[in-house]
Amino acid sequence: MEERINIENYEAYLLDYLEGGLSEEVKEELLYFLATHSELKEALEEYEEVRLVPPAEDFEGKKTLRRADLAFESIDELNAQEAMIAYREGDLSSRQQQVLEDYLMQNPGRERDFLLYGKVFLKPPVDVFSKKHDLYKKERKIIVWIPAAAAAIALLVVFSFFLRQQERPAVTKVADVTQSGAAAPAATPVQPKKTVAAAENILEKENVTAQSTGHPLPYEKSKKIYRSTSPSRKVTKKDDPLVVTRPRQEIAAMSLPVRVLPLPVTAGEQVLIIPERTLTDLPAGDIDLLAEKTGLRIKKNLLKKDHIPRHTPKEVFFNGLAKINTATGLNLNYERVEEPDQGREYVAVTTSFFSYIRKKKENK
Amino acid sequence: MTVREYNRSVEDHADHIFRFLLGSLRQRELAEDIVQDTYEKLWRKRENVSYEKVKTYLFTTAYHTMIDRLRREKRMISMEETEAQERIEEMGSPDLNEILHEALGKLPPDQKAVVLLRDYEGYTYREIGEITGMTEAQVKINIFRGRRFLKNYIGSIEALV
Repeated sequence: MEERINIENYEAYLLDYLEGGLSEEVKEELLYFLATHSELKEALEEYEEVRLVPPAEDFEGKKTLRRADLAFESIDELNAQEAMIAYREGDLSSRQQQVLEDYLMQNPGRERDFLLYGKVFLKPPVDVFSKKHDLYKKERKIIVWIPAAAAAIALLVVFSFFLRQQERPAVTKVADVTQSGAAAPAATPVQPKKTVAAAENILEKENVTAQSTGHPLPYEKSKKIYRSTSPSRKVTKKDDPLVVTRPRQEIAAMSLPVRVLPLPVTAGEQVLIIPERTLTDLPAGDIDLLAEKTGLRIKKNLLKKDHIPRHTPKEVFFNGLAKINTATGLNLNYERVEEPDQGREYVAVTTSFFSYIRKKKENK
Repeated sequence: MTVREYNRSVEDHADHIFRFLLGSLRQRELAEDIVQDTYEKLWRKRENVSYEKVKTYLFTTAYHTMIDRLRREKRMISMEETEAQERIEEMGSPDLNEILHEALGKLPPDQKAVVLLRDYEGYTYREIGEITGMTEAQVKINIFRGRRFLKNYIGSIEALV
């Protein structure tokens, strides 16, 4: 008959034996096996030596695990503190208050605690948020009057066009007649020289006005007005340029360097910040449209901070900056310093201009 | 929510949010930054937030943004706390409210936030639970623990005096 315990598997039986998990029959078999293999006796002794003996120490905080009677039917040492706090919080019924007051009468040593609990309520400081004015948003009444303004401008355009149409044929007709030397029809007697002079005067007057003032003719003027009253409408299409009033060279000169901060990067919001004073001057509507164009969340750096130590993955930062440059037609400069971080590089931007935020994926 | 209502929420609640954050963080610049972020989030979600619910929305957003920041900037905050400990020694003879605020700085963020919401804003346990995402029982426990710590703290100062 084949033996159950052999040199290959005896350790498994040995562990069971030490754990007290062997039946009497198998235990006898194991002991017999160990007796016949004197070299393994030492192994048994070693195993017995490494067995941990639990300390006889009791959990001192056991009494803190006891549950206090928080209904405060009666007050004792265990629930007195809670009752006092609840009293000060205004959570106790009049009956519970009476129970506590009776307890305090009987335990004058507790009165100090009760008095102290009456003092632990914080009063709000008088600090005010000084940057509140930066949070206000302008009401976009423009939306309401755009249709009305457009209708008025359209009427103006039509009217001025109609006026010019009325004037020009008369001039042309008279001029044609004069140049060809033909007589005017009898039904419409005109005085050619006088009319030509009048016509020339009209045309000359219009040209002089346009050249001297730099203002275009009425129709052009209308178009100009329409554009200038709604500049932010220009960037609703992704390919349109964003209107930036500040000179580009000036803006480029304002961009400040980027540097790497050796802090750990964790998952969360990623923020790109570019030097202030440039796009912060743009109206809020244009910032929104820039965000729409670039597909980024952009916020103005209203608090105008110079140092915001947040991290942006390298690719997010450079892609974001490239998108902004494309959208604005700017060429914002940065000094790129790279530092490997477990195979992935990050940059931190230390200056402020405006920022965009996007959720970063978990860094696995 | 209309733009006018949004602006009214700035007028009505920005100071309260700021005080709550300042009390919790004890860092003016970080508190200001979170107020700005909170209103930025409100502006972007204004169409989904009614004016009636805006105060709770603002406190909820501010609280969670603060907790996120604290987790991320743990190192920085612990430095600030060290500075706060040094400050109390420089305070000379502060009044009770100042001592309480110093003690508040030593509470864990959860306890600190619930005590502030309770004392500054007078929120109920249920409302604080809505803002912080805790159960009403958890809020109560945190307030009780916070109060007990504050009591022991001012008790020890009083004993010293």
